[in-house]
Amino acid sequence: MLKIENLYKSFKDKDVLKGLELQVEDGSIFGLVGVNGAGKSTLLRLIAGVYRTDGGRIELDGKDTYLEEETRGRIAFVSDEQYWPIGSTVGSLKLLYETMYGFDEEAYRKYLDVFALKENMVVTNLSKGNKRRLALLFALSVHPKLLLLDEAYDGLEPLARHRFKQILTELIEDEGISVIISSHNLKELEDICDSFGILEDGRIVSYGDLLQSKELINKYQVVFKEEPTENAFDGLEILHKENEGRVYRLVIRGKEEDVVTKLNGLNPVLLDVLQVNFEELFIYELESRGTDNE
Amino acid sequence: MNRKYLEYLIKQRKTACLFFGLLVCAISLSPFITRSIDSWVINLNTTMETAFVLGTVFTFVLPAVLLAWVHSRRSADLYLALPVKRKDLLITTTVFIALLSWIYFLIPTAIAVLLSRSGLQMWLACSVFALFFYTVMTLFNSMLYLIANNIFDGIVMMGAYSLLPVAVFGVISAFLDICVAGLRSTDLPVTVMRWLSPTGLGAMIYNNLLAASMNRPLAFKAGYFMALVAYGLLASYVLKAEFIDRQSERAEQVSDRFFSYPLVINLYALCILIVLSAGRLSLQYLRNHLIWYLILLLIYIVAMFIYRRRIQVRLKDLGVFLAGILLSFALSAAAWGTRGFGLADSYRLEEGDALVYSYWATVDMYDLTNREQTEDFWSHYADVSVEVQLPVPLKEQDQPVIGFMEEKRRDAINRFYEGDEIHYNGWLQIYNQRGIGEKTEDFNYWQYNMKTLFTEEELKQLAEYGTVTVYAPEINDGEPLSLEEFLEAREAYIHDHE
Repeated sequence: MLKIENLYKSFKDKDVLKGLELQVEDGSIFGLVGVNGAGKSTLLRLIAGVYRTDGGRIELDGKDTYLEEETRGRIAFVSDEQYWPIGSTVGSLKLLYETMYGFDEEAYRKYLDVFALKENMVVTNLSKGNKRRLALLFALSVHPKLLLLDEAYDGLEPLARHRFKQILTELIEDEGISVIISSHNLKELEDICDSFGILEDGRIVSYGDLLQSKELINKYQVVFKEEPTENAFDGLEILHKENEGRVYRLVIRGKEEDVVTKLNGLNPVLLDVLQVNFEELFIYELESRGTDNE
Repeated sequence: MNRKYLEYLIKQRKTACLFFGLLVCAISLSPFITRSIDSWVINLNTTMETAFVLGTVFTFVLPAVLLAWVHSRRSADLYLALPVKRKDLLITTTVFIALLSWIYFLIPTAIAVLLSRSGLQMWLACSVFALFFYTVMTLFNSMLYLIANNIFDGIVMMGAYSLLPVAVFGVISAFLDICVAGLRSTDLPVTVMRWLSPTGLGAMIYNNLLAASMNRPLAFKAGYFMALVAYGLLASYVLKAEFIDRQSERAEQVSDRFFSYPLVINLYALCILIVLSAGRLSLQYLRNHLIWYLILLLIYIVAMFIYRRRIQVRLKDLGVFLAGILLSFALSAAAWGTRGFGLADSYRLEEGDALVYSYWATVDMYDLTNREQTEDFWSHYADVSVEVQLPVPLKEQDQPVIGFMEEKRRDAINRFYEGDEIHYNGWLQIYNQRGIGEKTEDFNYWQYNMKTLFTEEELKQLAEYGTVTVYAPEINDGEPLSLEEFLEAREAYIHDHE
């Protein structure tokens, strides 16, 4: 289990993370979302040990991820911008992972086939998508306990994404690994994640099981006979409201039955309940907090 | 140290290591191919020197290559996420560089020792020292490279700090030349340069070790060695902050930390300001030099622009520049107010085996005290030179000439600090000599511009202690004459032309 307590990080005068708390269970795929500059990449780099924390603790199975070499060996980090030494081939890159990590040759061969890569391929000649596959190939070949993907899942074409999803499912079932994926493509995240966290103002502001959270926020389309009064919606946690005359579109947090009961009390002519998707959940969450950067 | 990372470095670079190893061997051992078998002992020395220099070069190049990943965000993501502590990354890289440089030294020199069948003891001593030196240099150069925040600036820092001792040497030499009356030879600039440069210290120690093998006395200075240890410790301390505790997000940013561009630019600016302000300060001096101060300020501001990558004139920069000017003025005023910090009066007479007074002037042959270059001066000029060599310890009978010459010296020094006009075409040189009759070495060298030149009477008296030679092309077809011969010849010349 990954446990982050009271994490602080600042760059010069800018405080990026301010007392962040997070827990990612074993066998979980955690989607990390936030607006640009929220600190997603910073958080992942801190977990990977690339950055030093200014305060707080990051522990994987009770061990510090920065200080413990063995723990670091169990974390695979795929950065948003991968580094490939000039002139390297897929085969030559293997040396680093082979020497430094608990490298699984069998898994490497398997994933090489899965991602349709060949050892003699020159990295600089690979397409952007293939470079992402290559980064994932090595990350998976070291059998990580924690896999950190910083926008590395973005841009994979549907077939590769499908294969990768299958691989992750197998790894989670067989080895109970945890995955943290930061992405701007919330539709893709929704497909793969079981939990999520929204990072804003240096903290995780919304966090939990994706299905449960989605169940807790719904869109309600309501038509009233008469214009409702200003206080009509008191007691409801409205994240978003818009109306055209007596037709209201509301996004409300709360148990569906409770909200429906309350709205029915206002004698609507029509009341429809619609599910929100992850993208809408993200947008409405941030909108309700007054953040509208994305 | 991390064994796995060392293994990775070796495996990753094995082809390049082998190539450069062969190259170093070929270059270092070339004297054995090009020279005859008779000079193999000299060849050994050449190989020892070449291999040592090439090994040193690698302690500059390899940190820039093997630590380049620190300066790139993408590569830092890869390397800093490795399951290795930063301390171990640093130690392993240092060990790899120092060992590789050492092996590059060791192999050709060992072959040279085998071929020349001599110098085994010297080779052992040099090898042990080379390992120590390469370790210090690796740490020191890594420190310089990591002061910056990107690759280009890292290389600039290595160059700027490595050349700084040379710049300081130039500044001290120029400053003393301008502010100390008569001073022409002093070890101070070289000494300061040597102590400021670990490369210079290492070269000194190594040369002393090599000299010992050539039957010259071993002049091993513990101070130099301790200074190298201190440089190594300093580099280790700074590397803790610049590598182990480094905020890796600094990668690819401008190098605006105190010890990078801000300090380097200010140090070099101060060096130039010190030289610029070294003259006797006066309004006239400042008026004449104002343009240079303005040009330097412009360069200073442009340098600040370049490293910050944005155009911004900061009051703080102007303030620092102004403080530099004031500091250089203060230094100059102190030098002129204390007669070159007392150095102008610090001459010693009884040094080495002899004290030499040497006088030279270009004068009118009819009046040996007149050097005014009138229109027809060159049709009747004469070069007068005097050389008085007195054995050390000085004898009582030599006191009159010593008194006379020293009075001339004191007069020249006083005039220098009183701001008297500088007079050319008449110099008094005073120096000491070692090894008279063998290989003579001049040292403790002073040279003064003379306001009043020696009269014929004074020259006659000086001729009793040494040699006075006059060269007057008009009289004797350019053949140098003694004073007595000259005076006679001149009389005849005047008589013939009347």
